[in-house]
Amino acid sequence: MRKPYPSRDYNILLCVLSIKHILLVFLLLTFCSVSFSQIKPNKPKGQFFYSIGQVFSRFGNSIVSLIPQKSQFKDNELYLMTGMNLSKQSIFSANHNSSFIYPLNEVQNNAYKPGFSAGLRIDGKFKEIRPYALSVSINRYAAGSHYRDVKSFQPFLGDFSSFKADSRFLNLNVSYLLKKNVILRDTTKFKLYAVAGPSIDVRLSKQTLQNKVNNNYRLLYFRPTVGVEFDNQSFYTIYLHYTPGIYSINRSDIRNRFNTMEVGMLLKWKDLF
Amino acid sequence: MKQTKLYIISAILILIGILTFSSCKKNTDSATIELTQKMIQDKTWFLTYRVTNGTVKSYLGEPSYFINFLKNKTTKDSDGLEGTYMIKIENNQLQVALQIKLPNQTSFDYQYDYQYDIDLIGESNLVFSYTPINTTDRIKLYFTLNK
Repeated sequence: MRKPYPSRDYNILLCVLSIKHILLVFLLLTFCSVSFSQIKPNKPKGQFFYSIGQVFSRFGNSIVSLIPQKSQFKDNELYLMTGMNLSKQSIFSANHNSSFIYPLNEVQNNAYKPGFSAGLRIDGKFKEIRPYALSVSINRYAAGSHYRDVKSFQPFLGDFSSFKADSRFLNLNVSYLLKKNVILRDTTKFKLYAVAGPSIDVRLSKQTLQNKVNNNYRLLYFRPTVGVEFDNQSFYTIYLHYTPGIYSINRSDIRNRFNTMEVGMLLKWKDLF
Repeated sequence: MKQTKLYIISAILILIGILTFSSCKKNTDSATIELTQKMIQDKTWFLTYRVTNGTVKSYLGEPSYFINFLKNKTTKDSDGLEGTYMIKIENNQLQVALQIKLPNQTSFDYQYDYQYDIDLIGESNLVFSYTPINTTDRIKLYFTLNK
């Protein structure tokens, strides 16, 4: 079998330090912090275990200090959000082995496809100065599939892939966005925000039979979100978000970056109902 | 207070860890067989290449062997042989097992049993491989839907 294009390690850092590894290290450190912070060392300073305990204890305390108090979130406003999204999967699957083959000309669909989303969002201020937004939405994605590398076995078989990407997904999305007011003109007329933050997608829809075969798709994946939001005197807000897939939404040897652009509108709940 | 918070954080992290690290080993054999059945059935598969130990024999553009696999799990080939077939997985290898009746026999008491490994299968491509009895030669058969 020949691969016409070498599979590209597009994100070496994430290949070496996957989220799982980072999470594992974080888990271990936290456990150690809890354990050490329980100990009341009576031994004099300078001893090795006392120093280690101090380090972990400080680490544990710094984690606790990162957790915000409920009272620090103020000026909360509930919004109804609805929008249209455009999605595409960028797939590296040449290393994936399966008994099933799919001709490339039948599965290649290098385009952003439209879907829609609806949900609720709370906008407020953290510590009275930092605007934030927490949203929960149901997203219906219809995603194009861009196969970045292919297999070929001439003359018997043409270009093909051993993986057929699903084209429709129903996801529950939770996003936490930090907002930064970008001052361009008079802010009494409108406000423009730059937003960024993490989001989690939970796949609610089932996989197609083609992907049940190897249980290819993950149930949960993390993605960052960046974007801009136009707030017209608090009557409505128009947003444009981009959520790049930096981490594969597939398992094992398939690397699939799921990229989404979303444009939509936010309306105050109390204005509508 | 801080200790309580720390325990809560730990509990959340453990939960995330369990969810992230645990991989449910699902039985995907039934899905594999179902998909293979869907791809193979109700089609006429024409032999286009036969490869024996690297020697390629092409049947493109000339009358060649073909075989039908029907939805009711029966099969019929260009030699007039009929029988039944079954998709199965044995030792992690996808296979098709055929029971072919001898010509002019109505009973399966007089039958040949064949078994082919399914190397690759798609909507329009099928690759079987097998080793004939008393030989060590591995033979690959390439089928397509087009003659």
